[in-house]
Amino acid sequence: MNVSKTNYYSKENYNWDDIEPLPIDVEGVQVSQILYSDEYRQVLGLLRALQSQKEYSERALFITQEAIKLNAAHYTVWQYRYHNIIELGKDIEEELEWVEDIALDNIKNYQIWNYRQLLLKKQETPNPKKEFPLIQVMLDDDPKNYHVWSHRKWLVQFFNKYDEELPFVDYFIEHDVYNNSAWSHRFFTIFSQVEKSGKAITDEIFEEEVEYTKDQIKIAPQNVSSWNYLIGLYESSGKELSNLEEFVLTYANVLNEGSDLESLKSIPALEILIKIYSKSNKSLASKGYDLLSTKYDPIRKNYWEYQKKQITTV
Amino acid sequence: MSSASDLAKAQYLLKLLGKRRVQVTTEIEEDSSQFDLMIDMTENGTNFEEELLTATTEEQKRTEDTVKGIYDDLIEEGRVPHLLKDKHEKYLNAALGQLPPAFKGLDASQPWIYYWVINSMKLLQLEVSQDVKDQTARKLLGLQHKDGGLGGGVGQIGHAAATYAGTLALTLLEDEETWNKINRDQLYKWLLSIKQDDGSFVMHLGGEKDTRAVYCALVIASLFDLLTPELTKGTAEWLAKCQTYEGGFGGVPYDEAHGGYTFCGAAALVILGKDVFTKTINVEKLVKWTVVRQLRLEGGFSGRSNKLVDGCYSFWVGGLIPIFDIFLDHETASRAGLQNYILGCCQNEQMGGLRDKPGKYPDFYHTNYVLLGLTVVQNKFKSDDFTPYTISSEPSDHSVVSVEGCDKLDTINPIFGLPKGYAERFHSFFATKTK
Ligand SMILES: [Zn+2]
Repeated sequence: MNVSKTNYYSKENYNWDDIEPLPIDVEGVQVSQILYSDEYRQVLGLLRALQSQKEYSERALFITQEAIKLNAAHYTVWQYRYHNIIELGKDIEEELEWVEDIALDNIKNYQIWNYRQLLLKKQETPNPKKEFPLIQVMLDDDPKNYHVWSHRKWLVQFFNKYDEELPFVDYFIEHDVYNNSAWSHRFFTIFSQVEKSGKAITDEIFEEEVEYTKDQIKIAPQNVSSWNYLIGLYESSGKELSNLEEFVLTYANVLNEGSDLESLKSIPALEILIKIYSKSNKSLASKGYDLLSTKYDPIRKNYWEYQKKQITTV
Repeated sequence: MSSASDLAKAQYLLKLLGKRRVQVTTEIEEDSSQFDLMIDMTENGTNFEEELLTATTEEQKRTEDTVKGIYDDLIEEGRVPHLLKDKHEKYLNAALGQLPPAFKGLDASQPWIYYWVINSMKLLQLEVSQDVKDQTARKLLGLQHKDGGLGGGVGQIGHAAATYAGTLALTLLEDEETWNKINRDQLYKWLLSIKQDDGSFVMHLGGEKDTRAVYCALVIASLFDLLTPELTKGTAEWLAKCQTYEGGFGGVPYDEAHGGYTFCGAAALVILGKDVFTKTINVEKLVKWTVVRQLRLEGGFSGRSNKLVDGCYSFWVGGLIPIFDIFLDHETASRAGLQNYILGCCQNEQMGGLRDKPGKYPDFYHTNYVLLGLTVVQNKFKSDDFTPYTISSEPSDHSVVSVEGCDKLDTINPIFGLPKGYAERFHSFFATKTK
């Protein structure tokens, strides 16, 4: 297939005379064929031609920029750009700034984060000062963006810089106590450090976290994020859930004789209570599962029946 | 509670009383358990306390209101929704034609298009013409990169997800001549080249590492019968580290539990073997996380804690139900609830195609995964030896979910997301060669 080279790129003072763009498509009639614009076909065709002759040059760098502007999800282009940057000995700091602009225009794109990580790993003295503010901006715009949170975890580990993480998480939990990404980041902050230390979590940190989480549960007793975090804290620290009996009873005192079934404030609390009772009082625990499957949470009837079977047959 | 919402509640209850009468007096549907469940779902209402308004609860409330509106209308009409097969057929046929320039965003994901579209057609038991098969074969073979693997388009470097989707599409073509044209030795070397020392895989050389890349690599290796100890060393252990304190899987260790990554992590472990799945992760926590993804009013699944329902999680999360069928031998999530969401909320009634939620446009991706979710609803799965190629299914029990004949889809192999038989034939073709 012959791809034309109009004057579109001559304005950039790069000479393309020696380059024959390669086709970016197979020949002939195709199923689900994307109808590329001329511009797209031209840019990607030139890029493919340069890449296949392993050319690393200013014009190659330029063409990767044009291609990324047209389609930031094109992983091959990112790879090729990276090799150009390295082969040409480009200033990585400048390149990081260039990606920053692309990132802000393509907030859902995740090629960008992998690309930044490749660059940071290549730098002799990478600078965390630039990285963290960018994250803040992007999460303010999209507070549950999975790839941005993931990139932040990578940065924290890469720079071994944990000191700002709990305040950072607090900020997002204060805005929206249901933001599970923030809760997950909290768990990462506490337990990846514990893992690194090779020791168990200290009683002091454990107690602090329990108190913090209980305070958040008080605000929103049905919030699965804070309850999951609380259970995660207990399980990962090897502590007994039975210590929570008094706390969960304030939200789920519905199992004892004569209690008001309408007073339930939290299903996760009831579930913990049942877990505690399944060791000490199986009939109360069974009653709890019956209530969940018939009254409080019938969409999960199968699951609650399965749980009940587990405690009654073991 | 404000008097305004009291009034709304009273009006709703009045309306509902009327609806119940409709249901009793008109016998439109032969089976009403599905219908009764819909009433239960709308009555069970919200997933949140109403006093606290945050971005999360506001969005959730909006979604619930929309879905409730749809269910209320159906209840008023006294009917359950059905699968609009003719509409979806038209939508998929259009997908086989030419795609406008705006589709350039999928330029690096072209094998996905073939998988999504042809797979959806097969699930709907539609004929795929020889022309379409030939063109797809030619295109897929043209995506083999000289350094191994399939790229997302012509001239693009090998990519685990592109190769995965391309391989699934190849199985659907059922053409041994085409299968033979894949350079299997080179494929194996390429898989080794994206394998990492910690047991994980990256998507491509220099690319990102996550549970999706691991699942894609293992599916490719399994289907081509290339699953060696060399290739899978340390992989189960790495995957286990991706199971979070919530029970689902994240993309990498310590990432948030997420539907897509969870299916990939769990299905990858099943590919690695029965003992691997049951012994390297906390299955009970995985089950718990999965069932809690099902939303009370909507009946569909969300992908993460406190996120909204989305049709594609009918498979990324719902696809764990077959795995639990096999390993737990107990019903877990509500198949009937999921069916209500899929048939009631995920279909575009004008142009066909399936979608994330009401108000969104359909796309190829959601069409495939919502349909796969519907097959999960319609079938109960089992496997005597717990290997991915011996999974069988029988129609779901009528007491679990009522499936009308006109809604029936082909059953699947849930580990690969393919209609039953395709992965099995492809694998045995290459397994015979290995011997
Ligand atoms: Zn979706």
